[in-house]
Amino acid sequence: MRKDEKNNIPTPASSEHEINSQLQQWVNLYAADLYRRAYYLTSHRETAEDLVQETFLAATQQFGQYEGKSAPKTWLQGILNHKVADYFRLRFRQKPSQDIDPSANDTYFTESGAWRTEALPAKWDDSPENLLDVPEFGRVFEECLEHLPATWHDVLLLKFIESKKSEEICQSLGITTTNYWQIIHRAKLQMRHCLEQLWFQRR
Amino acid sequence: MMKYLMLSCREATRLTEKKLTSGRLSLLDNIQLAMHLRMCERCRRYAQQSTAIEKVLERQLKEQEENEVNYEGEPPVLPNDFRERLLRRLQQGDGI
Repeated sequence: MRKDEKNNIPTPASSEHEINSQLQQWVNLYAADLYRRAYYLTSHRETAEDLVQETFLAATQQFGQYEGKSAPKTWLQGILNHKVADYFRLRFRQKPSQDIDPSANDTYFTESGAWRTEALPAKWDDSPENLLDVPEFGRVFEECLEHLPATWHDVLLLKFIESKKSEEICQSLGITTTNYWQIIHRAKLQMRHCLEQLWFQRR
Repeated sequence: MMKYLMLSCREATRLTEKKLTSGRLSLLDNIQLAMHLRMCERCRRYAQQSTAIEKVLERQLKEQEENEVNYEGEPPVLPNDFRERLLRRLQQGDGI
């Protein structure tokens, strides 16, 4: 790999051989971290592995676009984020119907839209933000995330992974914005309830 | 008129999420939500808790990217032959 004389930054490689040796180095340096990230987002080992493989294959193809402005790891993480988002979208589109009837099987609200007694939000002694550094809370939080139906989980995470506007996310998922809010609403209601049950009411 | 303007708790929490995610609401939605929240302690609580959950989620995803998350027990580890298989695919020019 050639280096820029002044900054010691790798210049875009030209030959296939150079690309391969650079990529091999990056695989050795970053594959493990990328895998942890992919596993955290998908909770599935084989999927995580596939996504990291695809990330490196895409990196090979896009190598010419890498200008060295960001650290290689950051660049690779950006590609991985796109791969995870694609995976979420594919999984979402493969489900036959994503419509949520707002009144059907509603465990949180009565027919008229009032809180059900057993679902009333209780007072929390502490704010989740103050618990960020408590490892046990982090694990409960992850557990609750994993309990969400897969598509709700994916839709909830998509906006953080890609930081796109709601309209773009809806378009890429093939759903209406109304449906999108409905899913986010359901996912958050369940998250809140789960945290209350597994953390705040056990303290 | 008042009855027309009053939201149910289901609607109020839905608008709370809409506001959190999209950052804005229509003028009417905003007024209706503000009116509901002023009168309903439960939905106020929901809004606070949901906002906090949002922040935790955002920060967890970010910290995880920087690999600061502590895993209970064994962190997920790449299979032994992962690098070998990937390098083989790369060398086959699979990606080029």
